[in-house]
Amino acid sequence: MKAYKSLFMAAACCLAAMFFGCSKSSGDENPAAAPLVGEWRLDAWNDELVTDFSIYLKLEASGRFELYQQLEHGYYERFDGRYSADGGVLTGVYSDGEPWQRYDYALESNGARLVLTAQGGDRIRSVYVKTSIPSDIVVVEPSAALTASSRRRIF
Amino acid sequence: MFLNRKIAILATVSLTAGWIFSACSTDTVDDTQLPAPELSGKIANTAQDAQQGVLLVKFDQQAIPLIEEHAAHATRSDAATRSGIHSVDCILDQIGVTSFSRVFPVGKEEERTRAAGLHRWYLLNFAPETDLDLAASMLAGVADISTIQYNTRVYKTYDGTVYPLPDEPLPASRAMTPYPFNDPQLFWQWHYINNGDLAISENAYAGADINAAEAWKLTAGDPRVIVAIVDGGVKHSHPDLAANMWVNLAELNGQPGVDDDNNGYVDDIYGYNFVTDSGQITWNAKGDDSHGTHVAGTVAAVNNNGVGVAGVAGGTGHGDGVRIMSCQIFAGQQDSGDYQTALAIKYAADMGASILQCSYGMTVSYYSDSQFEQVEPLVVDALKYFQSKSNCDAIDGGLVIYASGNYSQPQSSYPGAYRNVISVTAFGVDYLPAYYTNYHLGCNIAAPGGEIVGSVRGGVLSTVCSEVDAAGEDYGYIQGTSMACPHVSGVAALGLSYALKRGKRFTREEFTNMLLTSVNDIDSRMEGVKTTYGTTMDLENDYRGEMGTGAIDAFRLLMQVEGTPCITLARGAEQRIALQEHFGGGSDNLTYIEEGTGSGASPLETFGAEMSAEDMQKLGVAENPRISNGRLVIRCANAGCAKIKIRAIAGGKRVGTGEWIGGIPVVKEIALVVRDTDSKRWM
Repeated sequence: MKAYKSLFMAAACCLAAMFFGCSKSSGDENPAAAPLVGEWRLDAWNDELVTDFSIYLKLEASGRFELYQQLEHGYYERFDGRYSADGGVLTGVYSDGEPWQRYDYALESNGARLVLTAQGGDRIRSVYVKTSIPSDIVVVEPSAALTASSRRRIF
Repeated sequence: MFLNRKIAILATVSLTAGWIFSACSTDTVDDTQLPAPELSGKIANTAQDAQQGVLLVKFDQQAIPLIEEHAAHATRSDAATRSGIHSVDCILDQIGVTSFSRVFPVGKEEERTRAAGLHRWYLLNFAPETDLDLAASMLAGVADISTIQYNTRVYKTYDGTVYPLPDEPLPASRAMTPYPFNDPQLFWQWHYINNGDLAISENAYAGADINAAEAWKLTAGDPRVIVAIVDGGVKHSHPDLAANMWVNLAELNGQPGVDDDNNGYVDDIYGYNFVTDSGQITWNAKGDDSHGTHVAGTVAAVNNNGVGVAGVAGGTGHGDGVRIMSCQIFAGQQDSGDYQTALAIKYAADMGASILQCSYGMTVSYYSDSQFEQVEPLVVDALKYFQSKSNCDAIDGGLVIYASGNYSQPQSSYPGAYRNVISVTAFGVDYLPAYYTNYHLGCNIAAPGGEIVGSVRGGVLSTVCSEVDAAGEDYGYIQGTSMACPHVSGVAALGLSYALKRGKRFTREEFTNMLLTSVNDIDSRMEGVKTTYGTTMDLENDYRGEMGTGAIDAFRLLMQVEGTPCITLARGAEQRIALQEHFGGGSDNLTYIEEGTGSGASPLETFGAEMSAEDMQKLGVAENPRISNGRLVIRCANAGCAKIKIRAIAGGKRVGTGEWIGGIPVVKEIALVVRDTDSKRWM
């Protein structure tokens, strides 16, 4: 039984290696981003605690991100796409091709705080803290970012 | 003693004496304007159409200890007929008063009752043949008495017509919006989910509803929210209502004929019948109708029970609907009046209701809130008491919601027109104003009231009483602002339910602001005319902008409960920002005002938005932000967060005051988030 298990593990490792190999070849893997992987909540922006809106950012090891923002609506809008961290610079692009701002990033407090400093402009700092995105937030997909009622009025 | 009669002529305005309550369904309407009465300074109203042998008297505060001292020590019969104040009792003797008692019985909320001054109201009964005017004027001469009010009768003009369900199979639906519950008649309740099915009406307009489907994904009610139905009796045994009835367990499990919970009322299990002064709620006596039961069904018929219809806040079929309390002020053919109405309102407050659902109103035309307050002091006192009472963890007061009336008049009926009371107008399945709805002054928000034109399917479908329904059915159609009103009450109940679920609490003003701005645009369809029953409505000139803030949308309210949206903008260039998320779909057409001003003559005019000097400096705002053409106009030089306060009028172009009828001021404090980018996405 043990032998089978070892065999299975070896096969799994090979498959994983092949998978990551493929990922790497298409630019999916991003070792520099590994410390950034996780779920983050925007805690402070522009040197002020965030109380009037809410932002959650999920960075996956695969290079995908999910952004949940409760900003201009009562509900959370969800956006996704791909990101990359390289040389202390965090970049990203939404799934429809719109690019992020570029950020310098730094990890603090043993990786519990992620500080993003926007390149350009006033170099505004955003401080994220590691967290779990609450499961009960009300999310509306980007395609439905208009209110439901607005959509209903179309037909 | 008769010499004390001294009548001062107060009113020079046309004050109609016989104000008539009417259940606001559209049928016969008695809007007879009666001649102006002459009133003493202490006599609030006139004896026109008042109940004989009854007067309501409010004593000065200093008289109350004497009266209560007397009641505590006098013999039982003496205490029940006399005040203990010599000057008063002399007159009570002459009038032949047979009963002298507090209007509002002593109960569990006595401290609050006294703080509100409601303990100063007394009810005097005497022989019906006694001259009512004479009795009132004699009492007006007593220094210890501050106010005297006749118990003016209330009437229903609704004739009880219920339109039965046509016997036809369920057609194939366009099903653009799915039906989440298994209530078999939900398909026909276009007022909740309107897919524009021609089977309902050839004029059916998709989206002419309250957007219930989206809201029900988040909540369908909460039994901690209680809605008081001030109306005819609610059939509490109705198969689609019974599970959502409020139940006074102390009385249910108590002894018959005993006031088990010491609230001053005996056997009040599902509410109270204030007409018969009994715990027996009635709906099938001679003269009864389905009005109260129909209204209750719209608020909270049990959802997803495989039976009949759905209700706005009727739950999901798991005992989670809001609760319905029946506060009966219409019963059969018996007299009812201001006294019974005030009792009902206060009872609702004391027994836990957060929402007062009132589909009745007066046909009389008051010209100002001051006039209403003067003529209706007892009801006004009771309304204020209800509004001040917090019965739900989600709100610090009570919400009062009235039908605007069915007289096609450019003014809401009172009490709906009263400021801080929400008045509801009605639209039809075509998303246009219903032919009967009142509009303009004092009207705050619109909801589906239905129009039974051609097909009954254009009416509002809800629960009715089989005992009095001509077809013997449990369900039927009615139309009217009476039917629009419970949609708003139901949506408000959903909002409170969702706030409880999310652990949020609001002030009454905050919640009212959210409710009145959770709307969709109703004005853009108002072009040309609409002809119904040979009557032509000039939509563009008479109704556009006059139905309130817009058409109520349940989902929008829940989203406002969820969180207060910010305004994001890029620094640098001047920005013109739409305000739909904050003031509803009709925000471009609202009238905005500056603090301290009561009127904004036109939504096209420019008014200032309020921002502190500190915040302006922080964001580098050199020029005062303003509202122009319904848009916020602002230029910020710096990135950052700050607050801006914007004021609009919910209903009409001026704020209601004591002197004139107007809308409710809605104030929103909104966070501005100024960034280096104009992207609406955060990263």
